[in-house]
Amino acid sequence: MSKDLVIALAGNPNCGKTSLFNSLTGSKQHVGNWPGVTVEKKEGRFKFEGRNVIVVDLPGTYSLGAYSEDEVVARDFILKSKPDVVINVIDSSNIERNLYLTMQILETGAKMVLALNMMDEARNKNIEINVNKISKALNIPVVETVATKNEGIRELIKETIKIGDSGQHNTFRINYGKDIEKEIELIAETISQVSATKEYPTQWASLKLLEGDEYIKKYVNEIEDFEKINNTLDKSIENLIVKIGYEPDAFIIDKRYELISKIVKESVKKEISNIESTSDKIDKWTTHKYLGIPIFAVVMFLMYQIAMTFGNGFLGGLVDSGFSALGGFVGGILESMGSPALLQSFVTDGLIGGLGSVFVFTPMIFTMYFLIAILEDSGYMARAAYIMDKFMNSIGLHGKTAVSLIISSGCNVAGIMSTRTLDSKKDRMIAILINPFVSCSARLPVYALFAGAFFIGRKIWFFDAGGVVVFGLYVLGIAVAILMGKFLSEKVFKGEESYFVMELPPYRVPTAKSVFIHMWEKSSHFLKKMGTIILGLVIIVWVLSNLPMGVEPGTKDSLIGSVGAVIAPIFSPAGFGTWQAGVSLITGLAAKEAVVSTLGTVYAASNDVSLTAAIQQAFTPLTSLAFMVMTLLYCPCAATIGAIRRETNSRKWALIAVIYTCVIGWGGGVLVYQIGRLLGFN
Amino acid sequence: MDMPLNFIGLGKFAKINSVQGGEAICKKIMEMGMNKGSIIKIMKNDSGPLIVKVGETRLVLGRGMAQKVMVREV
Repeated sequence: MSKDLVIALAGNPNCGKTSLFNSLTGSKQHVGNWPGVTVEKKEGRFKFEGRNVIVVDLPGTYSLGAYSEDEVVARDFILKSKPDVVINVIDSSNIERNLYLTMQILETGAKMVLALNMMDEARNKNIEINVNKISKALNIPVVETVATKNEGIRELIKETIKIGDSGQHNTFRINYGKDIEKEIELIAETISQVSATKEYPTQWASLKLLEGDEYIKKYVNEIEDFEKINNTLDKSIENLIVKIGYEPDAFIIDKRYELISKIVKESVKKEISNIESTSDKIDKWTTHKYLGIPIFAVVMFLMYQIAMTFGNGFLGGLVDSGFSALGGFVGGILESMGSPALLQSFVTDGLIGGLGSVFVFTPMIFTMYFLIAILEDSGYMARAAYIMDKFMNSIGLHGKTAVSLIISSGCNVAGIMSTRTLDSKKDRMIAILINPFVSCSARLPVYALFAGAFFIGRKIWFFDAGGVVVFGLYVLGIAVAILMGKFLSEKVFKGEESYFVMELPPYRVPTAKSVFIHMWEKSSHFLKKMGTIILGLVIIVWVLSNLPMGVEPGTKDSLIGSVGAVIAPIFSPAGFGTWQAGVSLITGLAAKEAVVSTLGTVYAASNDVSLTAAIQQAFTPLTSLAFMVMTLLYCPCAATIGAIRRETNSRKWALIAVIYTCVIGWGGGVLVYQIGRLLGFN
Repeated sequence: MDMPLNFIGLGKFAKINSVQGGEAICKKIMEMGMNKGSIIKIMKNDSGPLIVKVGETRLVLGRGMAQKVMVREV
């Protein structure tokens, strides 16, 4: 009896399910998407005493209702894919709320094991849990665990395999009182009479219908003779409202909590303390009416400072030196081997130089993601969404949208993916579509180059002009995003008011392990895209600049020069109608960092200093400003376009995003230049 | 006397009677613990969304949502 076991992990958000998943599967995990929806699918495997176990991490949900794609994915997996066992992970310091999902899973008839996780926190709060009593009440094995410290994992796995192998069925049923039970029977009977196939268990489906479950309603409406079922249902609901005094859906929820209360009263002992918890004490400050925003501003400022000085300045500098050294070393070897000049150029200038100019930014990306992971895991991000909500609301946007915009300043792809936390479709669409305007870290090299050439060292009042310009660009990006958001919210996605409902998880000290895993997950995705797209691009640019054979690399006569010459006129109204500018902006479509590396190639600059000099020749302060504005606002990079397409599940919207960003980008650059000219600048 | 949650002051406790409206989001907060008979504590109610505590759960509720939660102070 050694067949593979398939287990699913289910639990509320923030119950430590991810830590448990990581403990079980280590590095043997695979992240993808559930088909047809934008919900992340995490699957992994491990071996225990010779048995192969496949683990599917279901999305964190509060119930198995139909309020979001997450919940439908979770329950469809349990009901249709029928895993051998469902491990329900519980935050033991908040049992009542967590047990609600437990009830729902039990009612599906799945074989279950309860993992009372975060037992360390429960013990800290002096919560005593009688594991045997709970196990008896729910009729399933219960194991205490602390996933972050790997406690209880072995026992959990043992119990899971035991239950998985046993033929024992889950027969848990909640008695909803004779009125509801009677109606469930009636509806169930009608369903069995009418439908031949049963995708869902009949009793369960009847209960769901009384609960007003949208998905089951839809499912029923696709059965032949569905009117019969709907008639029975309507009559039942009418009856029940009369008999119990309020809507059955609310009543059913209450009944579940009633049972939970009973179980908890008998098996859990807690001190009723009126002492403020630490989290509440901290929240007094972080959500303070007046101090909340300044505190948030300070946190954000620190995050940027650390990312820029440590990530970009220090670590980035190391990467830069590393690549230069590599280039010199490899170049030397190739020369001594007598390789053809073309090959030498390809390897040193093309590959190493091109890649180097982009990889210099990866330490900053990693640092950014590291800091974001800390903010998320500690629970602070939720407070950030809360604080931004009032302001965002006044522009017709959601508090959580602000969080995605912040993340976008590291990388637009990450910002767009973080919009999954938004519940309403309208909020989500708007957030996805405005994120590309936020200045991401990839645009920074462009600013660094141009601001460095024209603005650094000069002063505007007592501020360094370069700093003012870069800061101004960030502000511009956010301003455009907000304006666009307002426009979309009022004129395009006119949908209903969405309500702000969000859980504030307790503050937790993030563990190094979870922060690193979290950071690595996001950064490695970025690295892969960069490694493939940028590498490919760098090669293409190099090839185009060195063809036709024998041409002086990167000049007007090369292929890339010809391409650029065709495009250049588009940019004359913005003041930089040169083929070099045109070409570099085109390559920026694949990855915005490429703008700089391409400029390096087409101006035949082998290092920073000569590129700066070339820029100073080819542009003026005004045109460089226009160029930077265009780089900021125009079409997002390929990876971002891909993210937009995935998250909106629609090619149409990705295309629309490409079009309006190009238009706004071009318009912005032109405006800056033309107005500048009018004002007398050059 | 039943009133919307918005009217309960900081630090007070309220018992939930119902959540009006019947939309999905109403059911969601009921499932998260804001169901009939639950006692909640008001943690913040000055400007912007409210923060309430039900059991160990801290919930942020926009004012529009809070308006739909009918409670009685206890």
